[in-house]
Amino acid sequence: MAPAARKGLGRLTRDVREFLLVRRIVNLRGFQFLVVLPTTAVVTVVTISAAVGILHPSFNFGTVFTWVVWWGALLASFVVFGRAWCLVCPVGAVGEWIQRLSLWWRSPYTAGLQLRWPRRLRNLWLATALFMVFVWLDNGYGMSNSPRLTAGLIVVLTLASAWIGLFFERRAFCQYLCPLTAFIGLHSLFSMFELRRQDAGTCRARCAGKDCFRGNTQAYGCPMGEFPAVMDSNLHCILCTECVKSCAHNNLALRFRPPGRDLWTSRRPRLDEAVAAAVVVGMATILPVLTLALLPGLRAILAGVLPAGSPPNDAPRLVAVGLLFVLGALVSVGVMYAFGRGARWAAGAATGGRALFAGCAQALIPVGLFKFLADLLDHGLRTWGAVFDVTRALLLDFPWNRAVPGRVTVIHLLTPAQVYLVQIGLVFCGLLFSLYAVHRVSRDLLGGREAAFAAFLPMAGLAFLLTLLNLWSLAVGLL
Amino acid sequence: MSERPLGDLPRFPAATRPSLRRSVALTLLLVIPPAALIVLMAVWPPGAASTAEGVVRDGVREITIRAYTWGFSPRVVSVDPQETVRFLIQSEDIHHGFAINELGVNVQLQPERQTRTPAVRADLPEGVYTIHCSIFCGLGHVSMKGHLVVGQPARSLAGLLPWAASLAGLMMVAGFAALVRREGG
Repeated sequence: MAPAARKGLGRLTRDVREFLLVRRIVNLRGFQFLVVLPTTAVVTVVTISAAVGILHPSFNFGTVFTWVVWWGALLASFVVFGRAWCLVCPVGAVGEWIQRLSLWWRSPYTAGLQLRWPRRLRNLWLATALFMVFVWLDNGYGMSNSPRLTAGLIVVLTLASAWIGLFFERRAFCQYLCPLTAFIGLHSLFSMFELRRQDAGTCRARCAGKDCFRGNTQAYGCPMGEFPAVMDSNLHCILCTECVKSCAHNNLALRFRPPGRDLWTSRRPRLDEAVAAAVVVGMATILPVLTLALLPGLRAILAGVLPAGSPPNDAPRLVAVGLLFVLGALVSVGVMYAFGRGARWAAGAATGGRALFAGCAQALIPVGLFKFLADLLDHGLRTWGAVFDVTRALLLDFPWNRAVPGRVTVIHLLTPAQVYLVQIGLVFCGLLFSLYAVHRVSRDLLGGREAAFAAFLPMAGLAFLLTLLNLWSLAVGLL
Repeated sequence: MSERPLGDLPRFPAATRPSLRRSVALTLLLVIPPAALIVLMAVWPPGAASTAEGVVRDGVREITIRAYTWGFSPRVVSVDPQETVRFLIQSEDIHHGFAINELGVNVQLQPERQTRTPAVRADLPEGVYTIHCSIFCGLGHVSMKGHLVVGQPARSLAGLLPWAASLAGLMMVAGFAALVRREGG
């Protein structure tokens, strides 16, 4: 490799702001506003078409765009840019604009009461519960295949963001209440991009103002309440670059890194984050299988005690889906906790079962993430043509979306066996990343090589089990 | 930070001597039974081998299919080459789709309402084609599939792929463990 090329690559892992163009863009006061603007326009069109457009979910631009394009882009973005969606999300931006009384400039005024978020709620418990509700709405009511419910969801979330912004400081909604914050934040631990302080000594010895957290006359303090000087994970960082702009010592870097590093370097694994990680991983792996196997039977039992209705307003089914989701979450947490305890027992450690559970849950995030990507690949390859057809139909009646597309293109790009082969590749990527993360977690948590290896084996066994579950549930079309 | 940290590094002290034998035994005990169950459930799901007969009306065979979260019943539909068929599908719960891309069939299913597809001729080479839900319907959407078997195709080797992948996954874990062991934990 030529020296110049090495230098270029080196700059990517050191600080991408070493590229003049990147530095200029990031340093723009209106950087976030400029990147939010296009997504705001698209989400507005999506909301209008879903709210008043045709009801057929396969022909409605709003539903197809939201649940195929947006959902796919969201999952793919985790791998590279972490919480990049939160940077461009108009839902959070609307709350912030109202709270700050500005679109991009540093305003000295605020429309909000700037209350601090309650101490007891400064965790992921509520976000995890709301994530469960979100998934229940999708699977119980079929939110993703209802244009009106999709539009309703976007409107409700935007209003909630604005409302919370009027009472609480910073982006309290995005950090603690958005139903996707745990899902996005935990998957972002895997990403290949990070914002970090460069030199700890500079923050400690030379910085008295802590402007990255508090803000100054030029920039706002971190909207997610993070203290970038000690931030060691991507969990809450939305890459808004306010801290980069406010740092007087130019001590913050935006850089690429090996994927997944946060999965084992996080210094303070917490119970709420561990449970949220277990739920998110279980959502991709255990929960669909459990629901598929038990839903008909449980619904039949509940039909004996609850009044049946017309789906989706069918109480026995809605309750059955809810119960199975709670059960699925409990099973996911229970299985990971049991394997964590088992790892501790095998390692002969006196304490640390819960820490091993936390480490194990986080280390398994790649298994879940790559299963989601494999699911998406399957759906995307079978229905990709619809994106072009609904876009064409939207343009005929912009933005109301009342025109039905003449046809829905169905062209197979790959055969089912070929799709499965690609999915196997994705699932194995997840397995390998998780194995490495499990290895690092056990090595870092336990003293002694023997103990670390003894703890590694049961957790690697769990990674294999979840991979097996993924491989066989993805193979349905071949069996 | 209100939440109590679970485990502060540095490392946890050992109470007893770590045992590789204990670890291997525990891992095998925790992994083998559920692994066997996973494969068993996938290979013999209820109704996996069910086929649809249907009723012939005016030269068109009408085949009734139930759709539910997340599957079709029957899961396997057999038709003769060049046979004209119509599908009568009813969703038992939420909105689903019913699509066979190769036949150009793609209909939306309303809850508790029977949807009739146009009559279509199975003008396809003998083989197995995928019936799938064409509307994103939740977490298990990807599993909502069935088969349209046209004629009597030769047995495909594609069914062996999950077995091969499972074996490869197992070897991957064993290989990784061996590497970790060689590096000394």
